[in-house]
Amino acid sequence: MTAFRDFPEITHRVDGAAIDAYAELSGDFNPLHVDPDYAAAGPFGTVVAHGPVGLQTVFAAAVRWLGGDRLATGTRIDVAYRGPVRIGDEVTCRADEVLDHAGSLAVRVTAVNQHGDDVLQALVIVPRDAVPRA
Amino acid sequence: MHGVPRLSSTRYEDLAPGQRWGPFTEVLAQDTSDRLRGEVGVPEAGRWAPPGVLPLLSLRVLRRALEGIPPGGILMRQRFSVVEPLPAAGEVTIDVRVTDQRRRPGGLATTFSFAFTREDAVCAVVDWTIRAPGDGSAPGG
Repeated sequence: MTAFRDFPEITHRVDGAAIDAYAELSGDFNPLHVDPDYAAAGPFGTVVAHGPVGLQTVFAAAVRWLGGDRLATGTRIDVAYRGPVRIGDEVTCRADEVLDHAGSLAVRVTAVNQHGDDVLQALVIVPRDAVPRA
Repeated sequence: MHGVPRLSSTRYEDLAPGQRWGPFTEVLAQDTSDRLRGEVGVPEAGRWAPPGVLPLLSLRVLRRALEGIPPGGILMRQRFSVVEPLPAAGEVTIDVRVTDQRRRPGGLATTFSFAFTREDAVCAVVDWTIRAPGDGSAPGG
């Protein structure tokens, strides 16, 4: 099989500023994300990031993998959220498996926090000819 | 988005498959694209919109459609399909509809589908599945 560029491992540290920035950009000031007193009584017991904040690791890795500054036409990403991202968490995404099938590369990706707890799992499917060779 | 409340008075149990809203025009700013290329909020310059704008604009539109975010929901799943590249700055039109709703062991799961259109051509489709614990009417965040 032709060797393709490796899917990179990327870590982001999620601090309060990142959550506030996402709230500002999205307009989503849901108190679960921005109000510690409110969030203390919620399902996670503390403020948690908007889901896509942790997903940024996967997006950044996929874009870096492909080169340029965007995803290739025909890219599909399916994300299952497994656990919350709390203030101070370090989220790391890495490829578990790369499958080459029917003209596409499919990468199984897991993102975990600094304790090894799953944050999300994703399947990134990209047309094979969009992936640079190693 | 000014004037849109933080939390919607709509509950997930009030929604049903087939409901639709829009089209909504969203203006994507270069600065917004640049702050979603790496760690959230840390700007990096680029010509094209990064994938992070897809959930972000979907969230903005969901807030506009439902006049806030219904309380009590937890994001369970998202699916992204990229059809055409989106410039880092410019206008995009987004339609949203409820495509599925079913009761699962953990609560009521509602799926929204967002169709992104630019210059009369679909450029991306995003699906969200949100689970509301209990029967979908729970207050909270």
